[in-house]
Amino acid sequence: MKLEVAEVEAHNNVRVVAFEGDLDSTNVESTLEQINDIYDSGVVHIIADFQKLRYVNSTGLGILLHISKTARSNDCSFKIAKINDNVFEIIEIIGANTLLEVYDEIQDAVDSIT
Amino acid sequence: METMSKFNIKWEKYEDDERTILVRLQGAMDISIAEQMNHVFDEIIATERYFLILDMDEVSFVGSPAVGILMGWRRKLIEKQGNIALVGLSLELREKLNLMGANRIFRYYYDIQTVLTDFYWEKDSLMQNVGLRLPSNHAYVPALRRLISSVVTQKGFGRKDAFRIETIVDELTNNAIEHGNPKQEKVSVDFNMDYSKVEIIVSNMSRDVDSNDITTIKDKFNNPVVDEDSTRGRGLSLVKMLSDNLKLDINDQGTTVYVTKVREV
Repeated sequence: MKLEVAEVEAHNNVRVVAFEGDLDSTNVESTLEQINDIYDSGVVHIIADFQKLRYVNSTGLGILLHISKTARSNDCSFKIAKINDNVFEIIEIIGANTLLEVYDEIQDAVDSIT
Repeated sequence: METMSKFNIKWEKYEDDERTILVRLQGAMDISIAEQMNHVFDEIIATERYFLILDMDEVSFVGSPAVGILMGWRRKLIEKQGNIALVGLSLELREKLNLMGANRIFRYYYDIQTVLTDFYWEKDSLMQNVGLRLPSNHAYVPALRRLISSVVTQKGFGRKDAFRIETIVDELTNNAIEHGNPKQEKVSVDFNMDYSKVEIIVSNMSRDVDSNDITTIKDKFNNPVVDEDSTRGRGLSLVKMLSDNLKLDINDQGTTVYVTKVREV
């Protein structure tokens, strides 16, 4: 599991974080830490790019829900874009698609930030 | 351009299996071989053996008309509950065939033994088993679930099935680790598959459980309740949705979960 952070032009408080690999029980803790570090540095909105996220399990989803909820309660946001079909099926079964902010494209997520 | 070697085709009844014909091909399979190929096929069909292994180790060229002929053979064999397998193709020829889309139609093998194993598995509905015992540690789970996923892919299950099976194995094994006895340190995963389905059996050895605990675990299993605020506890509902049958067996020795997942066409 690898995270890559990129800035977004004209949006200083936004970061696109590309997830690559499998999000599972072996790496949820370190993923959470890295995401928390990004918010701690003053970023308000994180857009998670899931294009290269091959796999997620229930523990991984649990962490995503936790991140999303914590962000909201801190007046921040955690948005997800470009989810592959397999991963989306898992998200849907768990019912997390209504709890997470999901977008088709990165740009859609950027546009949602006012 | 390599020189085209002369085409030759020979066939024989495969000794060790009464349903199988072994066909040896040599040289360039270009458009000129059509008549010869069709003649041989008529002879083969007359034997009433409908499973063909084509040994293509000495084939130097395969043109699209030859691929078309083999596709015709395959169609007729499948009508007779048979099939066709290609063995010994060079990597270069495989690539050429793949460009014509042949890899979606034919199965390639390195050796005849594997063809027959697959054939028996498919036609006789033989069960194949992969069984593992592993230390009760999450670190082993990603490799395990990917192994199982790649086994079912090899067996011709679709990508969606493979992904769902990977998820089932992952969730059940993680549960077995989390709820198991750290002193016993063993989780076992058994994986049985035939052509139409897979059966996944995951066991752990229990902590000290009494009959009250057993009732509690059974209740939780039958009615998994998800706490919205918790990051955990969603695995079992996920497995329930992805599988066709799910059963729990628990006693003071340990817990075993049985899952059946039917192959989707």
